[in-house]
Amino acid sequence: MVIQANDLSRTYQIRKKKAGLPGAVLGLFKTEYLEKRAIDHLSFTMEEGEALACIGENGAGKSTLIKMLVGILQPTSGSVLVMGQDPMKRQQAYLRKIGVVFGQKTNLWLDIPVEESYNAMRTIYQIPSQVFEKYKRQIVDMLDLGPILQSPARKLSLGQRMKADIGLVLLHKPRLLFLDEPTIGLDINVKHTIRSFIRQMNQEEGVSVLLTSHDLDDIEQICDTALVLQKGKSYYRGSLRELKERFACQKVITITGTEKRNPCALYPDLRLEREGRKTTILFEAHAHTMEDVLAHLLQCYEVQDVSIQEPGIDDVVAQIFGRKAE
Amino acid sequence: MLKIYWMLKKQYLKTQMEYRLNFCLMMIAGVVIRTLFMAITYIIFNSIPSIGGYDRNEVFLMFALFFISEGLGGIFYEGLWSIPSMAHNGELDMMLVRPVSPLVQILSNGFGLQGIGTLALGITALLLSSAQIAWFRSVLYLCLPVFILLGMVVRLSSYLLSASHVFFLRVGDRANVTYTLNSLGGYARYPVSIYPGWMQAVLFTIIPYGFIGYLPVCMMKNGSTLAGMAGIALAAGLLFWLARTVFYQGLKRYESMGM
Repeated sequence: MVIQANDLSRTYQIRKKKAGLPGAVLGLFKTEYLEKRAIDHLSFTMEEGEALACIGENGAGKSTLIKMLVGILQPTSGSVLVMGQDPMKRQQAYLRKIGVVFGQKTNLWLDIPVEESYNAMRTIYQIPSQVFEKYKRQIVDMLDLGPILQSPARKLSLGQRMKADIGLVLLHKPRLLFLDEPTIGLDINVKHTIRSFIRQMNQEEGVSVLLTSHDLDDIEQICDTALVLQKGKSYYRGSLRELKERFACQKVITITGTEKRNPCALYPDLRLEREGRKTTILFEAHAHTMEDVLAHLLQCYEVQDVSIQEPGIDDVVAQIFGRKAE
Repeated sequence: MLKIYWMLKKQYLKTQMEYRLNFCLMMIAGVVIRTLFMAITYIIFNSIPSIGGYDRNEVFLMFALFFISEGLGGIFYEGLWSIPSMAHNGELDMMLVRPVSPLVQILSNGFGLQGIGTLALGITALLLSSAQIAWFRSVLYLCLPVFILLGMVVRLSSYLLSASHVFFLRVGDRANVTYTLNSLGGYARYPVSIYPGWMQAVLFTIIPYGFIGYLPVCMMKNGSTLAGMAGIALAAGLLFWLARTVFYQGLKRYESMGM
């Protein structure tokens, strides 16, 4: 087990502020605090080699959780062991085994060339030069960092900087990688490179990955399992596939062909979206089985092509958080 | 550890060299401000023979010790000044996940360029004033580095201690406690004995800058150099222990940014 969290909680005290300048002045004399529980008695485990997605809305506690796991933030109560260590003790042996990327912060020194930041890691993590050079070359190739190694990080585009940042935290071969919104604000090509790189690290090098992201494609392409947080509590913990099956209530079939009769005559709750010769049919999973609907549709259409779409994780998330809102 | 400190320091210096004009200006500013200080004191001594029983050269020797430790402090641990802002905007996060003591990383994350000028001025003042003090025997030159080193420890500890307030008080990063205390500590450039008792007490406890310039000169003048050294070493050690403990306790309360 790489992570073992037991009854973990974290509360923040937030100063209650009254609006406007008079409120601010008043606040100088009397302050009231509001307790906000970001993580609420959370228990979960993560296995070695797992690629786990931490899913939740803004403020669900994802960042707080990551900060507690890496030893930046002290839990209010409960305990957590990461690779058998208490992260808050910040043991060197522990810190050597993890890598952390916060999408909104950088590990690079901004004013000096990327390569110098990379070389600094060799000293910080005390890596033998030969091993380091070899591994550095490998990472540079995989992320295509060659052209930017000599530029100061300040001059890089956001995408280049992020690639350089992700490469940097892997230089010491961490066994567990924490990624907090690693592709935020990046274009599709860079996202693709980053995702396949992380996936490869997970699959081939066996690096365990814990990822938070609002980009559901990140999650689908990198992770196999999920931890869904809702108001600091665990809402779901298990495989991504099962999550989809359980919560994806809409099923989708796309048919290309001519309509012989309206399928809605018999199944009035089917939703059709017609686009030329292509029709997309959506229906609630609990109302009909896929088999029934498909059989019916085959009678209604002169079918040239049929495709059944897997529910996307974004449908699932919308479903989970939409349901809560009701 | 030391190797990592130097490496990080070099990284920082490289970033500073990118801005050459700033480099020069900072260096000159440090010298100009402190030369003015000394000039004013020089003029004052034209009308009065001594301050608190110390003549011009003795006071300049206090200044010198004060400036040298300040200059070296700027060179070696300027990064301490940025603790409040780093804690406030979450920059500490990145330091906490590296397998290097956060203190070492903070110390190396800065380089006070004005420190070089201040150091040069301090050394000049030291050499000129000590040569003209009757009781200053050459063997004392061997003791001065020790006093300077202890002065640096005192400074480091009080910077660290005052910067750690950011973990305990919600004051934001604008309320520069370190800067304020450091300015008040400037009073300890002069013979501390001239101040009222409560202020002397402050300059040896809350803002312990009395240990940097005044006390070494006082002890050397009275011929109890070794006792002075031992006493100051004890105080400096205690102070450092306290500052380090408070800092690490503070880190446990560090909340970073965001949720």
